[in-house]
Amino acid sequence: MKKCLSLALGALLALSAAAFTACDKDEYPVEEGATSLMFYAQDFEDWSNEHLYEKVREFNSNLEDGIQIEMVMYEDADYTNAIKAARDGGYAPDIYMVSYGNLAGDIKRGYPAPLNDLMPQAAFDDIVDNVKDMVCYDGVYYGYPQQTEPSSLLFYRKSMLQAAGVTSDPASWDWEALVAACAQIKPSLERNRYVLGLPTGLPLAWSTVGLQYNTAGYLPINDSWDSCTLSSAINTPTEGYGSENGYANLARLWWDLYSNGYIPAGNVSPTGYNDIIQGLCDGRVAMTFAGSWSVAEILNTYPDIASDIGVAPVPTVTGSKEGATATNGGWVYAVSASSSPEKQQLAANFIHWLLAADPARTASYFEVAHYSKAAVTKSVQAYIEQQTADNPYQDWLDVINDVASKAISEPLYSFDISLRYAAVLEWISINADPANNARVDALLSEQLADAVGRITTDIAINELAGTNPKKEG
Amino acid sequence: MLGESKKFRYRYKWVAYLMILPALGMLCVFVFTPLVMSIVRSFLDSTTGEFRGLFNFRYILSDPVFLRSLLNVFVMSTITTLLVVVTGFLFANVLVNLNKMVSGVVKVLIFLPYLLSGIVTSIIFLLMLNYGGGLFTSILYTFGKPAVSFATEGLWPYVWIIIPSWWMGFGYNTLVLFAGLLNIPRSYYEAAELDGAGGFTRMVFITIPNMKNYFVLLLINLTAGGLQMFEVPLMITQGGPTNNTTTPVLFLVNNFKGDKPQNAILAGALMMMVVIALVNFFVFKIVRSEKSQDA
Repeated sequence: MKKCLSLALGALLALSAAAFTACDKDEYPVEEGATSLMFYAQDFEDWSNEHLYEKVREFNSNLEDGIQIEMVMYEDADYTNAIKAARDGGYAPDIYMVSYGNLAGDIKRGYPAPLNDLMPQAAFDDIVDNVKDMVCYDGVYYGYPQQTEPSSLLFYRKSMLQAAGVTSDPASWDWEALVAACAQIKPSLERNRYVLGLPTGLPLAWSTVGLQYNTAGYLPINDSWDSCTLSSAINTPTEGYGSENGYANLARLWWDLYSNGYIPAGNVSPTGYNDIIQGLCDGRVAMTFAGSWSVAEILNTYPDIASDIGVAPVPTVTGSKEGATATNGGWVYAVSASSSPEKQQLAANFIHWLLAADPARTASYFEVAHYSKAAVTKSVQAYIEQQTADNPYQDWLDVINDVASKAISEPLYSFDISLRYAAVLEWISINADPANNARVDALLSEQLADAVGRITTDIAINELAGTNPKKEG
Repeated sequence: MLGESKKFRYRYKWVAYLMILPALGMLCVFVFTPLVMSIVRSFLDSTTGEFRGLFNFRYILSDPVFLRSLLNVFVMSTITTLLVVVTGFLFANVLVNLNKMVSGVVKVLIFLPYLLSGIVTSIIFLLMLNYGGGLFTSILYTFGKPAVSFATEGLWPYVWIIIPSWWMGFGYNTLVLFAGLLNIPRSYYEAAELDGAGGFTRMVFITIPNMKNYFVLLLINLTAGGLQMFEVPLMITQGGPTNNTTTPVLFLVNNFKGDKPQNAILAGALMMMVVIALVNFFVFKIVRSEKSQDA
């Protein structure tokens, strides 16, 4: 009996091993004598992962290029640890992914290799200007961009606006028009329905930076990174958004929206801002700020109501949408500086093949993304424009591309700085009481003064002064 | 005879060393070495590896969110601890007076939450508290009331971190107190009854003094555990709103992968270790010095 059991177990193990090997071979055909390149990728949406696997498989199926890519995909929480452990252990991946916001830090630590001599100049010339600025430092390209995602757009339900009698085009709204529309929509909503969804918690810090920049014309610290720019926002009247400091005006907008009960007190989706579009799609809010990735969520999960949804840039203080209204998030493919020169060249060849050589190949990523992300090269943008001529949601894509083309990059300074102003907005979100409208400026000043103090400490303790990698001279 | 005994001890001493060697080895690899490395790194620059003195400690102590998190955790863990001990003690008294079968069933039922991880417990509570349509929101809607954002409004964020934490610890600690109550000699109560002492008097002059060591043990253990509070605030409030429910461990975990110097995060973790070690040190000192006469 024992012998039979052992034999059965052994056979099972042998079968499992054979099946495992067979699967592996199916996925990655082996090229004899080829150089193997390790590629650490980050796990994103399922469709995105499947697309990347498919492309790597396609690349590896060429058995004559001398390159085999070994891709390992890590979930968000593990990716940072995995890549750090690999670097510390001396086996950094030849190719890796890094966000625009983290690229500068990587450059400072010497992780990515310059790509200028590894890829044709035409590939770099093809990158659109505002994205070029996000991957190029002092004329050196340290990564090749894949896509950008505007962090904040205004999504709205056409039927709910229509039912409330709002006839103006949200794309033209300034803040006063936004608040007026909210006042008009609120009485038309059923109980436990709200007018507008806004980011809360941590996403407040990264999703509002574009709007902050649009409103103030500068970021919370100056270009030299040696002082806080919010000081002049303290003790200024914000009535009619008339402060000279845009940060005070933006705080006042938040106060007006929350104190009038236009915004739900909690998240309308369990996962917060990243999935806030769910609240719009199930009718709990009539409008919402949301990132461009929400387009894919709408078309994948709520296709039946897609025609009822409109997309516009977020309203600005003047109503003009000529400047940045969002930040561009997104990912860059980089080659490790620690890899041998030969491997660096081969890794760059793969990145070029994937992202720059053929607009159709690169555009296939945007196709599976339902064009919820913006292309970053002129050739791919032109290709997509041809392909999507009869797309029923072309107006959405036009808005995304327009906002992305004007958006600023994610801040390069410590995330703490962004958190300090976000704390002001978050304080407003839980303390905006119409009974305190008479002393709103004093209350906002207290919070802004606190933010100034904390940012000043952050600048000192992080030794930020003079370290802006984008500061000319 | 004595000589034989010594010889015996000497002969098997090496066996004893051999037996503790694996444990010692594991401790060296997984505890002592990382601890020493962490202490060393907490004095070095995170990027260059140069010696920076107390910079990392100053860095972490200058962060207002870290300081706030210390206050938060002291408040929340103190309230949770007191709640667990008081309700546990009262319930243990009820258990003592139940018949054996009912008492057995109740003990199993109250112990069950202790078997769940903080994450699972938090998910259970999140399903009830979800602003977009949890159980409580549905009840409020039924009574014509607006939804409440339990994760952000008023004192609710504190309440809904304390309640799951209490729920998880209640069963186990009640059983510890129940065992303590059983250890009090019945003769004390019988003598008191003969002297005409009522229920309250017996509680104040017999039960509570005899349970002192149990109370001290639970109080300090729960406080030490509470200082490491992490999973419940992570799941229920993510430390918000405005960092009102951020705890030191949550702060350290959130920032470990961020852009703060990693060695400063290590310094913060070491400081928390010292605080927790101090609390544990006091528990052992107090418990040892105040041994019950009957124990």
